[in-house]
Amino acid sequence: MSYLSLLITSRSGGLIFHTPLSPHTPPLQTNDWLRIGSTFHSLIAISKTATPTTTKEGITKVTCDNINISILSTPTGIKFYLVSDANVTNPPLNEIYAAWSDWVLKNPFYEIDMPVRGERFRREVERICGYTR
Amino acid sequence: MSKSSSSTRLGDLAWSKSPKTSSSLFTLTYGVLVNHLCTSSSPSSEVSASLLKIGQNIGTRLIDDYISKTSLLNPSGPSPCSSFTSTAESIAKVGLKMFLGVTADVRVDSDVGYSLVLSQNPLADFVELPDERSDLKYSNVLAGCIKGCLESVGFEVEVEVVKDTVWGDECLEIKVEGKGRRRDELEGGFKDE
Repeated sequence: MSYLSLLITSRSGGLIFHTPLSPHTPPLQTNDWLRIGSTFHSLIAISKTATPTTTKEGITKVTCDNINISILSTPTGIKFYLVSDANVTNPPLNEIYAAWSDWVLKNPFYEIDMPVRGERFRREVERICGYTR
Repeated sequence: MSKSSSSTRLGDLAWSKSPKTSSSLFTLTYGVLVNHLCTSSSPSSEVSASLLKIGQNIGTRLIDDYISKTSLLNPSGPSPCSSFTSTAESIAKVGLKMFLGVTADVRVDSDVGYSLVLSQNPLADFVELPDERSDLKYSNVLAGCIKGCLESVGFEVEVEVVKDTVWGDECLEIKVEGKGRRRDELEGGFKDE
């Protein structure tokens, strides 16, 4: 196990996608994921506002004793959170972002800022993170 | 100058990586779309507005494609869309190249405005406007697209097609005018005005 889960929040802070990336991922209810997602969104907003200098990114990484949470905040306001083992050094957040732009945004039936229903993006994320069910 | 050539290189690289389609298929598909909007006997100004709106919807989706692909190709590059003036170069040399295979020249009009000048119009290869549609902004989808992209990253802009090859001009010219920076409610908040 190297990646545990991926969360994505919209520009308004709602959770629009989450997926487990390991059999060891804690089985949380969707409501719990929603709460975690919007909490992170708020924390990043606070980190950006509270700094004396202007920071563009805000929180980019949360380090815990045995896991890391890597965060990509895009200029359009979408945020990607990848929970991984502490030994992961190069989280593929940009690859996931590129997959998002291909498999989610280019789907004409996807509405911006709405939860993602399609399976192809999930499969692509699993491929990038090397997870086979 | 060096910034300009690095943008050109990035644009060429992005173009080489992006999937291609037949230009005839592309221009004909767009032509059918415009013609379909025109058949409902709505005035040209309404058709132009629809094209702008369609372009905006495309732009809000393509901007993430642009940012993600360019940061994969150029991970050490500057953070994209950080200032309004830098967007001119990015659109002209990278964005247009990546999605349409053409580049534009930038003419800086003022601190808050620039024009993109394209020597050819990739949308209008076979187009001749009929007399009753002579005021149609045929290429307005491009203006909308640029507007959608810039608004998604927080720049309020007005974008207008001012010259077009379908009107008999020698080039396609798109004018971009900055109207200010939209602050995200939460992230720009807590400050007194």
